[in-house]
Amino acid sequence: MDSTAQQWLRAFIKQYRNALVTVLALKVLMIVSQVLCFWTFSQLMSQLIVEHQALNEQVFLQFVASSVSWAVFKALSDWLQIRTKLKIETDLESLCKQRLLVHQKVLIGKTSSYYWHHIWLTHIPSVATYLSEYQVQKWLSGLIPLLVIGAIFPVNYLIAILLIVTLPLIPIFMILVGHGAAKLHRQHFLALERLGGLFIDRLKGMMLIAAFKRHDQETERLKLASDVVNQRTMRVVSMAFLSNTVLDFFATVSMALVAVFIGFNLLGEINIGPDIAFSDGLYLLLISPLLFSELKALGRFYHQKAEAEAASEALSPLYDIKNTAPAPSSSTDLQWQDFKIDEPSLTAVVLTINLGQHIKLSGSSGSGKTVLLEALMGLRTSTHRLPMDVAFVGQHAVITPFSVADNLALDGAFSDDELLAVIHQVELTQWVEALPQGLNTIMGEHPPMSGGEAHRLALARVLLRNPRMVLLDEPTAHLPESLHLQLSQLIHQVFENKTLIWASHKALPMEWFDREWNVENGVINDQPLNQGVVDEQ
Amino acid sequence: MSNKVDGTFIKKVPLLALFLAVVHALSGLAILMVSAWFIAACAVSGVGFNYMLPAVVIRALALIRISSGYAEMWVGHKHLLQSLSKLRLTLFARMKNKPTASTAEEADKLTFHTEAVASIWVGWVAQNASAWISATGIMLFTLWFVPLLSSLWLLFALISFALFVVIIWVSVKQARRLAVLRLQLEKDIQFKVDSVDIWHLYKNNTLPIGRGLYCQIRAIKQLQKGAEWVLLIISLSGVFVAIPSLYTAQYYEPIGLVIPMVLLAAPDWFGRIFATNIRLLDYLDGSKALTTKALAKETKARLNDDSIVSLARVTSLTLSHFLPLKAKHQQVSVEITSPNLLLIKGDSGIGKSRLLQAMSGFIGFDGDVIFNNQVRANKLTVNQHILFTEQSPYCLSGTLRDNLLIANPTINDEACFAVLKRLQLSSLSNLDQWLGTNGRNLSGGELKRLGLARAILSNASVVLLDEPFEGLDINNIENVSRIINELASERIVIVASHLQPEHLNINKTLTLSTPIERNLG
Repeated sequence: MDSTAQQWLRAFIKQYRNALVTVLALKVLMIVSQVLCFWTFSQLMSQLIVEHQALNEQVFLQFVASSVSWAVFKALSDWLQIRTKLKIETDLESLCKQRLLVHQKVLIGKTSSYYWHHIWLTHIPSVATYLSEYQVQKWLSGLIPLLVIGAIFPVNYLIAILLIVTLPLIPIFMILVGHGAAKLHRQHFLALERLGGLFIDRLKGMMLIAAFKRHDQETERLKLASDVVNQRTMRVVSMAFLSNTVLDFFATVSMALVAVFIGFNLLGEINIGPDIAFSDGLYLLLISPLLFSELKALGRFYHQKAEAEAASEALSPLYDIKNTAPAPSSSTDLQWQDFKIDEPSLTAVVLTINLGQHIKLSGSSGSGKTVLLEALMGLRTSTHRLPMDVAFVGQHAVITPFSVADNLALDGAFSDDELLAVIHQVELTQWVEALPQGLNTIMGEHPPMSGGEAHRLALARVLLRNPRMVLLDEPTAHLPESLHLQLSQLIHQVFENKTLIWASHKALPMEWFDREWNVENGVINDQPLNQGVVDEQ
Repeated sequence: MSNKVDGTFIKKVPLLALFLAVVHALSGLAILMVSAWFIAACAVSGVGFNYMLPAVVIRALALIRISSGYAEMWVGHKHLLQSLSKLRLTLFARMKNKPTASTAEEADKLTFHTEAVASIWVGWVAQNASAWISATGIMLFTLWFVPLLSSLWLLFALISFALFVVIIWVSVKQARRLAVLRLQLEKDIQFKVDSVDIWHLYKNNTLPIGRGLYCQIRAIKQLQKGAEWVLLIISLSGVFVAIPSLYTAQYYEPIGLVIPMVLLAAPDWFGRIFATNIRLLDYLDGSKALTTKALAKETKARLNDDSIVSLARVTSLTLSHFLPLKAKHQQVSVEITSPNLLLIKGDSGIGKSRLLQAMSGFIGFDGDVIFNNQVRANKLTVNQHILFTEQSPYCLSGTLRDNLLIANPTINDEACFAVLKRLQLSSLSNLDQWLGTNGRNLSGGELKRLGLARAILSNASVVLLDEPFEGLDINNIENVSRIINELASERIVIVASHLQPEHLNINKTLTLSTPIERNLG
């Protein structure tokens, strides 16, 4: 089952292949050093305890060298792994930001800022952790047992062969247990999901519960639900824990068996296979945990896989959108033939925009007016795109928490006179003068302005930039009738000389407009309005 | 590890789970030690060497290790689930007096924090206790069996302990910095998302930068890995000293090799504790968040509501110099007698919702709310005679029946179907259908009508509706108007709306305006 998310993950990881292979190699070298370290240690212990020799300088130096090598490779592999993780996070973040800058509103859409918190704070690190830790560990858990068997073979081929035969049992058992646990989980899945989510749900519905004074009853309900959840979870988990126990079993039993086998062999009680010296025996004892240690570590990382898959699903809107068409360079009046937006589908046989004209964009809500405006702004893939600077005014007036001057200028440089000029145009002069610090008054979390005033400020912000074309997407949608009329009048006034495309489902005087674009059933109908305005060509 | 705050969060110490964890760790170490000694003993044994006993001991230890491993997981998890439930229920019960709905984000954080606090035993204490008890055990072992190396072991233990303490101390500081960075990033993201409409007006639009946060996460990880590395160095250095010491002393006893072996294996049984520190950090973070959140003590002014409770019905409602806290508009004085429909108008953002919420007791207010010209409403509790229906009614995760019965637990199925029919919600025909998350999601319009259904089913004499028409199509607006009219023929209905449908029979209007006179919008 290769979903788009998994495909994308697979493609994304390719650029880090080299780094991750290096990390893998370093970790393998670290284990090799460890093995050499154990070997030389066993020699030293044998020479002391069995042979009663003096300290063999050469072997001791070999021991020190392999220990140092162990430490060095651990440091290198950890450092590189952490560094790669940061690189993946940084790259992924800039990829996401690139997309955001290109598609802006279309991506932000109706998702809450919480979704974006998740992207930055959870999903990006999840993908990075999965790629830099889990993937490497996965490879290690396959490679290291083979390496260890290879290191055992020259010492005692019998044990090596025994291991080759019995080791595959481990994954088989674990898969069996895994299936059993999954089956149990499926049985209890619905109950666990629904009841498990009650706590969060009731937190979000706190006001509703309080409004009906049902808090005590809901607390009782939560208690019952959590009892059920706990019971069922224990049932599922009792099976799932067996998976860890299988590994533990093999690891413990192998060490115990190795010890007893070697001991009895040394005593001469049994005589199977080649002779085992004490140093060999100690070496085998030290090295046997390595057969299982990497797989155990993988078990600790297991949740990373699920998190990464969830993350790549969440990231899918970001890598799904195709790139938009490049902007054409002409700036004369526009007459587009066979205009088309792919997704969602919107077409027009011909669209005409004459500079300086006001165009009404009409259509029932949901018909695609916003989509058209987004495409015109260059945020969606379409056959044509506007060549000039376009400004956009939306339904919600954005007020930043900084000063009035900052609100207007954003990151541009404008003189106070310019600011006051646009403020005067939108009739906010009195309001500004009434503020304690005038233009420099901080708006803060709760700006001291009414809805109507906020919209005027948003208009002033646009006016300041003197765009040649302005797109308006239902700017009065959330205003009561009287304000709608006032604000619409103001818009009509201040944008007199600009090219305007105004989407509104509320009534507007048709004399204000030169053309009408009506969106219906995925088709845009472009008509001049009967005032006898002739297309200037 | 219990919280000092009036003993609320004192958890039962899971002694059994801890005991099993320690047994599991000690038996693992013991197998290593006994096996090593056993092989050496077999290699140099004389004739009378009783080899069967150690062999049996090894097998017994293996058994103990495997079974204690499973038992520890099982018992530990059970304790985790139980203490998590208890924690969450306590928290929920305490929020009774401060009923503000959590956003999805706050709810998720609360879930995370409770998990972090509940899992401290299984996630951090068990591992660290096992590691340090093992170290102490080996100390005793060394003193008894290999006194030659006891000072070496003591030194090793002390240095490791110092490392342990330093790492925790530094990690806590790093974690605090991480929390600050995280909060800042969340704020930046919030701002950027909210201001998407003006991105194109910036000269150089910049998006929030996560790199700072990622670098800090890396720093914490580096701390952990660094600690593991230092431990490795200390252990290996210990072996570098132990081996020549043994040789110099001509210590030919098999038991001598156990200490260097245990040191070589230190990254396994000891080094693992550094990776668990993240749990400790989450716990500290979580318990701080929980104690600040759930500090609402029982309100002293709890329901001197007897006079209100004794009111069978509210026939008149008076607002006298009524002003919700932090209101932008002028104070309100109005008297309404049942039945009545009052429309509250005003600019968007002026505070129509806040007014309704204050009237029903969710927000504090100045002035008075008086019932039947006799009884004053209690300012501190949610009022039982006034029902507030939010702008976007919440659909509880539960059956359709649950979602209706919350308004009135005494109604039967027929009454439910009747009210659903009135609101043109007959498509919801199965009262046992699961709604909300993990079930069917209702559309915005359906939610609004569900809210209205609840209002109809409830016994409240005063019904407050916040923007009941927004987002509905013409057909539904007419239907809802009709239903509100019917409701208003029996009870006091107060509607806050910037839309004023034709067919709504309004008896009274109240317009909220700001104190300063302006002729602008």
